[in-house]
Amino acid sequence: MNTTPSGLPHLEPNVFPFHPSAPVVQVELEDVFVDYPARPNVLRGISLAIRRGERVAIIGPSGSGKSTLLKTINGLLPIARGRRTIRLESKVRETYTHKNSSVAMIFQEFALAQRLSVFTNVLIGSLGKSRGWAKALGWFPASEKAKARKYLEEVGLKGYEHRRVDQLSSGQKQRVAIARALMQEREILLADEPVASLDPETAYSVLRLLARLHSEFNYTLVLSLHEISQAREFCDRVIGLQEGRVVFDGIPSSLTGKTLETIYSVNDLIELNSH
Amino acid sequence: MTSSNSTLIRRTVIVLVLVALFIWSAQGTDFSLSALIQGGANMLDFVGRMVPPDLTVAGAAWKSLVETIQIAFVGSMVGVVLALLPSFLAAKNVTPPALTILFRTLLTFIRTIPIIVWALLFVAAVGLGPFPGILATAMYTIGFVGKLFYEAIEAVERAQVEAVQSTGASRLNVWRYGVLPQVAPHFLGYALYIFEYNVRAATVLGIVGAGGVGFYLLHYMRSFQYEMAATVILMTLPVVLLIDAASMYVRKKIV
Repeated sequence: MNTTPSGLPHLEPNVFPFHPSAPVVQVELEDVFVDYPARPNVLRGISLAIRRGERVAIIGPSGSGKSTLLKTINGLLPIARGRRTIRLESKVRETYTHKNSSVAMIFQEFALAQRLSVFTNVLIGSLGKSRGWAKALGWFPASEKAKARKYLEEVGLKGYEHRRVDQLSSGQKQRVAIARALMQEREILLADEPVASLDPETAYSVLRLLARLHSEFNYTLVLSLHEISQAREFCDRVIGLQEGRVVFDGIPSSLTGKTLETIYSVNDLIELNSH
Repeated sequence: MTSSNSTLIRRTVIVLVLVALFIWSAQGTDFSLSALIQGGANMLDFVGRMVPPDLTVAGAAWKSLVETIQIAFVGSMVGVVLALLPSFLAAKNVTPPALTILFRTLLTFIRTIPIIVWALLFVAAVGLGPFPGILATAMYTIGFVGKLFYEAIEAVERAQVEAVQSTGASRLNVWRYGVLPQVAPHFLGYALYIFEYNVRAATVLGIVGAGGVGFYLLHYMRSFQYEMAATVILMTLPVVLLIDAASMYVRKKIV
């Protein structure tokens, strides 16, 4: 049996048939189960591997476990059973939490500090880089401030530094959330329904931005999406979840009507088509 | 039995229990409407003796009124600051359960003791004057806003906290950037509210020797100098109402 650099057995080869030349599996989940206190088995035996630089869409009906899967990869949720491995350029983490992970995340509904400035919200992305009291008092190093300005410019918000977040539009808020995630300078970027709260036009501009930044910074991008058309257009791999299980893992062109029926119920499909 | 019948029976039982409790309490406290009506004449006589108010005591009344506001302000500030740490430690979403139980019990204990009893205790401990009044106000404030604060902390949006946690931030920075920006306006609103409350409460602290306008009020009433008492009351009312209105206006603006 082939083994990974950490000595772990490879998953079944057909689980990740994309980018066969890509050298490193960065995210590896093996038979992972996740429970919530009031809801056991939210994830039921998830096994998947994501290679460096992939752009992966997670799709599935509401409650299928998309957000839970992303939070599990991020280390925000503990796993009840199974194994989660994150491989970075310099290290392999098999037991880790969000405190030592190298995963950045964009949250549903932005999750920004509404009453703070755009600039401070972006600087929040640098909080994991050093310890001590200084940042709690609002003192950030000049180098980090320069980076925050650079990432704000990347997302098209140059000149918005001193605006309060609650004065921005939804699309601008999501750009601030993206700049905050970029500020973390991690190898893996997760995005939990990053365009769910946006109108179609703004949603596409945010997805185009994520795609451009993905190409520019070469991170691994995993995002959960509600719209199948967006997953087809912006991702090179689609993972379908249903009731906490992976029921589809393939390239977007293999998402046929029949495969969609295995992911979504008839009612879900009617709702999706009505959008 | 239909559900409408059982609802009717339940409501009838509740009403009967309330009526029985009222009768029992009224008998135990000599509650009497006829005594109230008979006392009406005495009330009119009392009000009549207050007129005209004796303005010669206005200077002393104003000085003690300012002292009352100062007691309320310093006591509220000290109490609010001292309530911050226990309220964080009492909030279930940021502190382990064993600690939350301990600090909730502590805050409940502090809150259970009325401000006038705290004032009596501190007068016995540090002597007469405004200082025991400040201490009493601060203690009551800790118990009162401590509960409001931890409830505000527990109502924070989880996603904002997770977003800061996911950057790898320390616990201190998660509080600073994930929790504090969400609760700060509520904390400020509650602090203004308790100041409002403490101004009203501090007007009676002087009755037990803990400083403020209450001392003069009690003194004039006991010595039957009702015209002087009227001056104190007439000066206190608009000041308290003004502080209430200003505080309410600011709270509406910030929360």
